[in-house]
Amino acid sequence: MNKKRITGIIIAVLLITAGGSYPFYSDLLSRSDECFSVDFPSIEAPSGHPDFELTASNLPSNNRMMVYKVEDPVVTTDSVWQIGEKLGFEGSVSYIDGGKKIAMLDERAEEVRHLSVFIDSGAVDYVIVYPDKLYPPEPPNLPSEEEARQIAIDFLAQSGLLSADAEVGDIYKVDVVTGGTYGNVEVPEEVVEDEGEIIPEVVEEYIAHLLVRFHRQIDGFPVIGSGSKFGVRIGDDGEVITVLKVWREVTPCNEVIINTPEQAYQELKSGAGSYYTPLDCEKVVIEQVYLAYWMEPPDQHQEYVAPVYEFKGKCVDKDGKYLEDFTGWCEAVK
Amino acid sequence: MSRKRLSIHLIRVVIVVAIFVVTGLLGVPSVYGGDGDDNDTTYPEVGAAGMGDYNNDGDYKDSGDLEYAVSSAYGFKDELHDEAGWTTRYYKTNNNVYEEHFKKESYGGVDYSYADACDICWFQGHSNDWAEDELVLSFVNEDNDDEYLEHNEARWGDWDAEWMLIHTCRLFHSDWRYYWSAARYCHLICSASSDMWDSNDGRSVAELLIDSGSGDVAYTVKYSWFHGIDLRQWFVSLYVMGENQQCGSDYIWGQGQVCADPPRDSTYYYWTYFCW
Repeated sequence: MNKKRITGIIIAVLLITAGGSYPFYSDLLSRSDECFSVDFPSIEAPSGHPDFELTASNLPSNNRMMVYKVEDPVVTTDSVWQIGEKLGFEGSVSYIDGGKKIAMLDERAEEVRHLSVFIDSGAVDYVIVYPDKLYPPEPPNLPSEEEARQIAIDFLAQSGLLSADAEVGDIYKVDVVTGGTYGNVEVPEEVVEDEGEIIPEVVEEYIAHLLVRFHRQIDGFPVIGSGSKFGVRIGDDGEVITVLKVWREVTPCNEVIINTPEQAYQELKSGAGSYYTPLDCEKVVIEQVYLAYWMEPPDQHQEYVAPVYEFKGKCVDKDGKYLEDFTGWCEAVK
Repeated sequence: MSRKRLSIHLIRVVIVVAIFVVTGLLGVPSVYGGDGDDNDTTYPEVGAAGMGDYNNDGDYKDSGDLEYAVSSAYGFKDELHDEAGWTTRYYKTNNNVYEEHFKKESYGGVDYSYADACDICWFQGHSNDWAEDELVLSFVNEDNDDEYLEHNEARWGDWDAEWMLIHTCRLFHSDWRYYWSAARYCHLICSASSDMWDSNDGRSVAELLIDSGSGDVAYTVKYSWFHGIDLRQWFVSLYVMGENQQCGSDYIWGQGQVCADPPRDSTYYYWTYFCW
């Protein structure tokens, strides 16, 4: 065998090996592959048909994105019991709601707590059912935002719902917002019995509980959609009242070619994605465009996590007056 | 009075007292406000209306179809019927849902046979704000009266309804918060102050309302609405209005305490919940 032939064989072997190491480059998938399509929601109000203007700068320059495969969640009576044990639950574990969830109930004289885990997604739902601590009858003593953030992290770490090595800013970001309010309104006696043509006046309103949100990121891109929820509701004296954690474990699957932001913008305008505007919206001004990953609701099985474009901006009326914020999405996979 | 007649009289008294005691323990309100409140504890009734096919009517081309409204309404009534034994009093979809079904009698409506004939009622469909700065519930069918229900045409609870669950956009938006006047002995009106997404929430809400057995527990109407919706909705502000504070602790019939039908007064209470 001469030198040239040996060199040729070596190069061929190296090329084949390299190809095998990067299957996604030789196997780029497209949107026509149904499992990569995203089922965007629509709003329950008639939408306008505005003009669009793109003013966003720093548009994403990616031409490829990773599609992730969702690992099948392992939800068993044992796994749920283990979560319950860490939360101090006693008692048995049962399938509920037609076998969609596995649950534990912790009933004590002064408090009833419920833990349920969705079989299709592994989402964890923890609630103090009784008494109603989300809406106390008197204004609660709520922690500061920083305290609330730490209370949530400590509670999650103790109950095994947040891995100890998870760094804030690494795979998630945290913020604190108002989770719910409680109030009462009053209408003048003389209109109580008429047709109610006035908007009643708020007499008292207070923040009933805080919501600490953990915003997940995958590979530096935000995870969005109703299946991206990971939140802790905190009430009086900093007590954790509910936890909803939807966090599907994912592994890289395939790299795909994606549309440019301009192509995605054209698709959005043509109605290929999803958006809502009020009927008097004459123009939508798109101020931000970014790539994100879309996660389905917790009671749905999801096989892949695909990238999407999210558009943010504002709706203006015919006089250019601001009406409301705008959000729209369309698929990113070409 | 003979001894025999006295005995019969005493037995009657004992039976009446026993009924009061038992119904009290079951949480039956001592006051019924609606004229049609009928055997609520033993014969609770559910109603559901879902409108998804809005393109049948040229006027509604802008509304767009709602993919999940019908299946969501079905899921709600099906869960209450199958899992809690409730009677389905009313289930209509698309072109068969009329404005009249939700409208008070004095305005030509027949809500006493439909929406207000049920103890709990689910409506899912479009609302819109094109009716002169007012938010109205939209119906597909305009042959029976018209295709939208204004707040002053609704009087819910003066017949039977305790809880109205209105899955639509902005019913309690601060600019159009008129629907408070629709409550007439109705305990709670559950809806949203923001837009709502077209999603299949009905069964999720119903599942939370019902204790289905070991490991499960019934939640209040208010929390069931909030959390059942929270599972699929995203960046939505939910809003529940109640005639009084106690109504906020209501469970559905057979699952826990239910407050007495609240009389109409000048104060009402509300609870908001942010789904993100």
